[in-house]
Amino acid sequence: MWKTRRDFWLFILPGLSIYAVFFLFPIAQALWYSLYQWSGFGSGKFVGLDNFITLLSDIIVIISIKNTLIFILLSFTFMLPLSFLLANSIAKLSPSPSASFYSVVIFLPCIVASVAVSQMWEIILNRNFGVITYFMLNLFGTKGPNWLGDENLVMYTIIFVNTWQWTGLSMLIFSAAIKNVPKELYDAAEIDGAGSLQQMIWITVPMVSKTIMINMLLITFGTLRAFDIIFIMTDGGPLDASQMPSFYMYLITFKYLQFGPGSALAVLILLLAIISYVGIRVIFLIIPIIVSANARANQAAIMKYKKRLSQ
Amino acid sequence: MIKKRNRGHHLFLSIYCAVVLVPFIWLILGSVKSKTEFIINPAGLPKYIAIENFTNAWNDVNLSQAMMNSTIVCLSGVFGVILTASLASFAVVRIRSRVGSLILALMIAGLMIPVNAAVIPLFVLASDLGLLNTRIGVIIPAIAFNLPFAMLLISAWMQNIPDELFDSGKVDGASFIQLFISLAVPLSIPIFGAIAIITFVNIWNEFILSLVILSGPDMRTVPLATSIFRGVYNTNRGYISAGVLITIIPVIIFYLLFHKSILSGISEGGIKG
Repeated sequence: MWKTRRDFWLFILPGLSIYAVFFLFPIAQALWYSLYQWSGFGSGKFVGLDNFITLLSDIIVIISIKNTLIFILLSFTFMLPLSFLLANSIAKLSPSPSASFYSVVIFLPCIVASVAVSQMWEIILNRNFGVITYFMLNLFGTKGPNWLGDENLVMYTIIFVNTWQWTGLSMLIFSAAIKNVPKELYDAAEIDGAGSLQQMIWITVPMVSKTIMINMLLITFGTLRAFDIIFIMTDGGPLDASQMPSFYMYLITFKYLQFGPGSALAVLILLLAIISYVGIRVIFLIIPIIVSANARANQAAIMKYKKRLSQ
Repeated sequence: MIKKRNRGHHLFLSIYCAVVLVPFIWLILGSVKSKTEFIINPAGLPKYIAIENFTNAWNDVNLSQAMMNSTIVCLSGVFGVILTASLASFAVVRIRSRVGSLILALMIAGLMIPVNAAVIPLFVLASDLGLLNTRIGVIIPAIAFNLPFAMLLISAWMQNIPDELFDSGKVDGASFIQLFISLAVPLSIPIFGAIAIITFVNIWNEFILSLVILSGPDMRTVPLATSIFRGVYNTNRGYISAGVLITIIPVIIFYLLFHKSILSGISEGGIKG
């Protein structure tokens, strides 16, 4: 049996070492670099938390965090209901060739590189040559809003393009969850006279609540990773209105060669990921408690009422 | 025959599918328009097919080189991910131990880490190891980034292979590695296929790591080449459209061939995650 242990490590080590050296170790190193002033070459100088102080007094960092919050919240508001409804409709039609056709089409943008999707939308939304401007000119005689050049509008345009691209992913994950909801629940509801809208709200939504959480986490991590779309469509502009943490991290590190603050921003991204992970998890722990407490209170009220009636 | 009660669902889904497809159709139409025609008529059908957009785009950013680079990086990455993830999953599942489940949890936890946070140290590491502007410098981190998802699905799959199969193998005196090669690998081919396809697409589309590690035009991957079209002929929109279109055609063909594995693999990963 002495061989078991050797086999174990022999099999695990290739994967574990690549993962540790090229993923975990770099993450730890980012924490380390964030405490140094360093231009990427030669040796750095230990500056403690100075880089974090520099970052938090940098207006662009504040803008990028604000943009991240808007990005996440708007994606929740639009992408979750939309992808859920799409999945719900597909579930009603499946299994059928048309249902799988719809899923294949809706997932299509997720398979295309974000770089290409962003480039494609830039062509469509371009102020001077875009299709949208052309339609606006012909229909209303005006060029219409400057989708990517207006500092008040640019984030919403980017969030739209991002939603267009990634709704298919949420839809797919919802579909899988809806497929696992036991059919008997719907049959029972049908007998009780519940319509399809009621069935969706009182059966499907509660049954896939864990999937709602998974999709919220995916959206959040995707937003913290958002880089390609900013790099291609706006370069963070106009006037830094569309800065996002990952993009600004790239900018300060590789354009301004400030590896210390750049790493501090990487650490900030990690912190945001951890905070939102814990936050979302906690929310989904609390909701069932509130719901069941509410149900119990209702039950008690009904009992009391019945008692009074019988008296 | 469409049932009456399903009409609403069909309508809703068709409208959304149109929203998804119309931008691609505009891209295709635009890609064959000359510079002036794109300006006069960006939305409609082209009157004259400017096929030179494609040849110009292909040659200007040396797309044959970029396709070659991406293919090499993807195939090596996929091979690396499948090999390391299947070995590690097999060990964790077959030799159950606390250390094993801890390692598995640690590797799957990577799904929750934004990989961008690792890019700066990876640049420094690659420069220390002399891997800047080399394919290896992208391939190895790409394997590391894609391991968590592969571990999640492969370990779950191997968990479902019945113990009895391996017990009878053990009685016959087969070693651990023989059990792996003759039993675990053949039984896991379906999940390997799904992981291979999804990992391939992931690495094919990967951008920030390649941007940081690969600086020379000879090493450029396809997304890096795509990103260049923005800069060169900013006013020739037909040419840019053609360039973008060529870079997405391979992945769309790939998707149409393998959509079953891609969709089922990703939804399974989503449910398990």
